[in-house]
Amino acid sequence: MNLQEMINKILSDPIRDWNVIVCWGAGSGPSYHNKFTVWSGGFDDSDAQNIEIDSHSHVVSLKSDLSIGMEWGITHNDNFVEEWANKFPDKKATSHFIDFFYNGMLVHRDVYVSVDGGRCEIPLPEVEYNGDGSIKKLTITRNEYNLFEHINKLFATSYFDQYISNAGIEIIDVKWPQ
Amino acid sequence: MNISFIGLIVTIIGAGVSIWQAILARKYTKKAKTYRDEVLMDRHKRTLFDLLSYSKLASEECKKIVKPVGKPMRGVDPQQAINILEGLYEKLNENMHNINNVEIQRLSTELRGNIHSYKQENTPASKYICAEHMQSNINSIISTLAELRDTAS
Repeated sequence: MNLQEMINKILSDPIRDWNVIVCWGAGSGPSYHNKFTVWSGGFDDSDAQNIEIDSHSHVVSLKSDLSIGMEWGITHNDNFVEEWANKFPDKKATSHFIDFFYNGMLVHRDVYVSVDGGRCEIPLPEVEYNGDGSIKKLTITRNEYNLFEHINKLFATSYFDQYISNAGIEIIDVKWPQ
Repeated sequence: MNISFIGLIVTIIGAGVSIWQAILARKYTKKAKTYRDEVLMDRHKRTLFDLLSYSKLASEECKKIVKPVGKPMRGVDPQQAINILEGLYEKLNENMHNINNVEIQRLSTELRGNIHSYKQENTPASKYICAEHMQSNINSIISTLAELRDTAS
């Protein structure tokens, strides 16, 4: 199976085929995929070590093919600042990684933006700029749109279309992932 | 003669009361000094905790403007990061009399210099180098503050 076939399988399977495990909040367990940041330093070159840990908050596998998995949630930018993302009633936006796994191997990574204080998850759009530096166009692919429509229906909002429209993002029929 | 004797007794009693009050006053003065020292120590610890917390925030912001491995990171406003780093420098300066540490003073001055350099640089490559110096600065500040906090506890 190649990457495109895997993504197509995820998109073509109905949501009821998704085996969803939530890994945040009281009573939830770990996702077993963590991001560690270690830094050291101090007086007199001492060995003081500090570790910070972040984890994916959601894990999905396909019931029809357990080799295929998706996880998302690890923070990419805890204060995402771009005009399209900060124009909602709650201006706070954060970006996170979404990872795709095949047989436990990370095969693709992308970024999405959680906007309006976490009420909607939008795939990070490609940006085209005008000569003066202003934004000409924001685009996401049809596949990204379809995937995040599913994700938002399950966990965030049923007004995904409205958020895409309000953000000024266009949907284009281009291959994803490239 | 009786009056003189009574007067003597009263005087002795008065002297005794004065001595007792002086002993009490000394005792309460010592207590007040102890309380004052405790309050000063608590303020010192609180300052260190606040500075540590803000330093960690500054460290997170600085990570966003260092050299990216792949494409530049999206959604980053470098000016916001610089504002927070400048805020850290100002907080350190305001509390320097409380911290009273030569290493922190040196690191703070170095941070100020690096922030200034970052603002002056024009190319992304040179800005990244400044940002890496700032990050190294901040990590050292955090570790030093942590050592001071542990010593004060």
